Amino acid sequence: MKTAESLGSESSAPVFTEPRRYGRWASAAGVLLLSYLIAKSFYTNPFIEHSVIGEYLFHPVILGGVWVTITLAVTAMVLATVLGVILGLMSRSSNPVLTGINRAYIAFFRAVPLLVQILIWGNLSLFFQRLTLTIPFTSITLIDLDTNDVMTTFVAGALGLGLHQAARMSEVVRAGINSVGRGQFDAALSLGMQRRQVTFLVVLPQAMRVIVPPAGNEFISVLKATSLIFVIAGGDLLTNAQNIAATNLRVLELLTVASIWYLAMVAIATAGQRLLERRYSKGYSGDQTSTSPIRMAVQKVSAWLQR
Amino acid sequence: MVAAVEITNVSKSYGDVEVLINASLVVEAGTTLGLIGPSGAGKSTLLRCINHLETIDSGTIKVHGEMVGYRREGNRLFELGHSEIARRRAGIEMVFQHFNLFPHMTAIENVMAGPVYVKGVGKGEARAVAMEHLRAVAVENRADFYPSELSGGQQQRVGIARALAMDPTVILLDEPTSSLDPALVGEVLDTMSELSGRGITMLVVTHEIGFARSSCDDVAIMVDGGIIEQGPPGDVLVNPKEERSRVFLRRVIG
Amino acid sequence: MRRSRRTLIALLAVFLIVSACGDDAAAPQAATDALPPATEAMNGELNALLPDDIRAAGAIKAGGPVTEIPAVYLEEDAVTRTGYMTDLVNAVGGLLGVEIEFTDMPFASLIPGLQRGSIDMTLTISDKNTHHEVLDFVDYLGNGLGILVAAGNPNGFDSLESLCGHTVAALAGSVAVGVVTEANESCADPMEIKQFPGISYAQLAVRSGQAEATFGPGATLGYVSANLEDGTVFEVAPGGPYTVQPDAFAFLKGNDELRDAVQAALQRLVDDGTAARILEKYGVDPGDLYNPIPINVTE
Repeated sequence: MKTAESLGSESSAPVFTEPRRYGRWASAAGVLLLSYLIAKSFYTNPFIEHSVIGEYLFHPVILGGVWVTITLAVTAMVLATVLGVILGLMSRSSNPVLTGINRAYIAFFRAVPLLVQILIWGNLSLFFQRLTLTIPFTSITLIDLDTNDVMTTFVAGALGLGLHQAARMSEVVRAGINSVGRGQFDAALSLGMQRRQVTFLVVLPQAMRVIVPPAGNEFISVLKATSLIFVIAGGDLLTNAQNIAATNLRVLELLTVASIWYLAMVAIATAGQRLLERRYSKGYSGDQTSTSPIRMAVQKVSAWLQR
Repeated sequence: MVAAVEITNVSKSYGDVEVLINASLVVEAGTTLGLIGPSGAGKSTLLRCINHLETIDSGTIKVHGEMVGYRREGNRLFELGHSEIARRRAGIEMVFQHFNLFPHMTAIENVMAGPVYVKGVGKGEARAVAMEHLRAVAVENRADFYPSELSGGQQQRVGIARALAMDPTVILLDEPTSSLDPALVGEVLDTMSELSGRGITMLVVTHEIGFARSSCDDVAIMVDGGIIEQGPPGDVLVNPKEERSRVFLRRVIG
Repeated sequence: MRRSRRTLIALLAVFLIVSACGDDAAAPQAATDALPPATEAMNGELNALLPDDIRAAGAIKAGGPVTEIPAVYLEEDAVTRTGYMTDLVNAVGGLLGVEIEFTDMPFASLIPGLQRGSIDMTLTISDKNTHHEVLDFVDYLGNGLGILVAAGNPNGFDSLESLCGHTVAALAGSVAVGVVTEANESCADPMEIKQFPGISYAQLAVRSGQAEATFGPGATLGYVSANLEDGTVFEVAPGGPYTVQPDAFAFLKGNDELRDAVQAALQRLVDDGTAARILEKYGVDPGDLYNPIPINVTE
């Protein structure tokens, strides 16, 4: 029984006290000091013009690049996730045609470098000048498009990034599905559920717990990989920053601007990932205790203030 | 009268290992049969073949006269498609040794899952019925808890409620108390005894000889992939015909 | 089951084999071009102009991409550097009595490379007056900019104004981009300017139809349109040359000794005709050579 009341010196029951963690305070102070010194050395570095950083941080070209980076990454990731789930499910099929397609897809799209894939999609019209879809053995044409009209930089980038990422996501999904115990299938099947119900009601929700953390990693990779569209004259954040730097020769400053934006985007993406992880951890106990330093510091300070 | 479960000369191998060898078993409707035997005899496998969680290599299994996993054309048996098998599983429910509750759903959601998603019952109505089933197994005050927040005995009782919510005619119980703390075994056995009095056909794989003796209408002993004894507990457990049965019982009862 | 898996693999192999092959432009005959007879006196004289550290090292570090046909590119063995800029700078090195150490770097890394000292000079940055705060250029070729289009000039481009409302590809951060951007300001129907990391990517865009024209240095355009697949792929649009984009060797400002040494060596090469011969070997008009060799001519 814990009691916070002091019963005076005659109290016989000892009171539970949080030990004074001097080591922790000292190391926290050391880390803060080190961070300050590093930041200061960057800030006072004579080779970096801060006014230029400020001037370009919200420049329309930079903001346009941020927008392209975000929309491209999200589009590619959605494509990759949907396709990745389909492929991941295919890999567990008993139908050899499906597993064959899955293996061939992964083998190809994981192997060919992303840069090459983007180059091919961006210059698809070198291979196919028109994209047509006709019903075989007839002359009925369903779709007839000029390839260059369809393959804008955005479409080419989204396809290149998305299809490559789908190969990686399919392995992540497969690992997630594998992590769900056989017993879950048994229970769902014995209730009489159809296989589609088993997949979407029982298996995938549980697999998400294993899928979300690496998927969050993959999204952050995609955010940064969008810079590869430079090779088809795409206008993502890094490319735009470099193009500005090529004109005004302020390479370090523009790269700093780009880095600041990447930090912001990744921070938001990470927060989103944590939210998703929490949502899919409903019902699982054990790994919920958060030792986020910010949260603990806030708690300590507010506790101290309330004394 | 058609027997509830009729297993005839079923054999099954995993590669070179023969797990079931000409196993035959009959469970009459409305009765409770306890299936006992040494580990590795194939008891769980036989149970899982009944609702076609496992395939069989030869022989037939019929539930209420109908095969669950196969159709017959002349002299050949073809495995049915997945959706047809799912349909035929209606009416047969299973309770598992490791509970197999859905961890991302609360207790009541687990019990509702079958009626809502398989039978198409509306969520409100299903919730009310599920609550009744939870009350019947005395877990209603934990209805909104997740399985990870329940004790082993509570989880297994939810598992039984989940099976009952589908109004089955046959319940298969695969070592339902083997994963439980000895202190919790009793509450689950009590629930099962109460069930067996209700007239549902129950087939229980178990190591609890006491339960077999007191609550089962029939007991069958399975050794090395085959059923060697079947009969009322008074006969089988006291006066077994086979030597292997005597060896097994001596080890278990003493 | 095994049969259908094998069939799948076979089908896939067929699919992968169907691909477009890139075309290599025919490289010019690999003739050994003779360096001008360097006498002891000449070498010593020019060599003395070099800064001490370079003379001691015995080498000048030169940076530039290897994908700029016919300026700097690789022979068919994919190892040996060739091109008129390569040959010129090698001749300069020969006269100065030092080796030229080449570093393959993309266009965007060249100025940072100069700034941190990993290279001493660049090969492919053209003289641009906005860079004169930071760089000094030793100019040698008054390369005019031109418009490269698909064979047949389907859009009938003949002037900068005619590019209005169309897609134009150019090398990111080059003089060419600056020129079309400025021209774009007086367009009623704006151009879409696509900036590529290398001139070859810009040309690829014209070839695939992603851009309707590319705007770039005349020497490159002329070479590519004449030689790629026997001249059937590209052509140079009429109405050029626009704005001179001088070919130059660039140095970090303050590097006067090295700059002047290279200038002197280049002057020698112009005077005795070596420079003209090198240019002719690659199909570039030697009439555009500067004489005398200026510094920062676009001031």
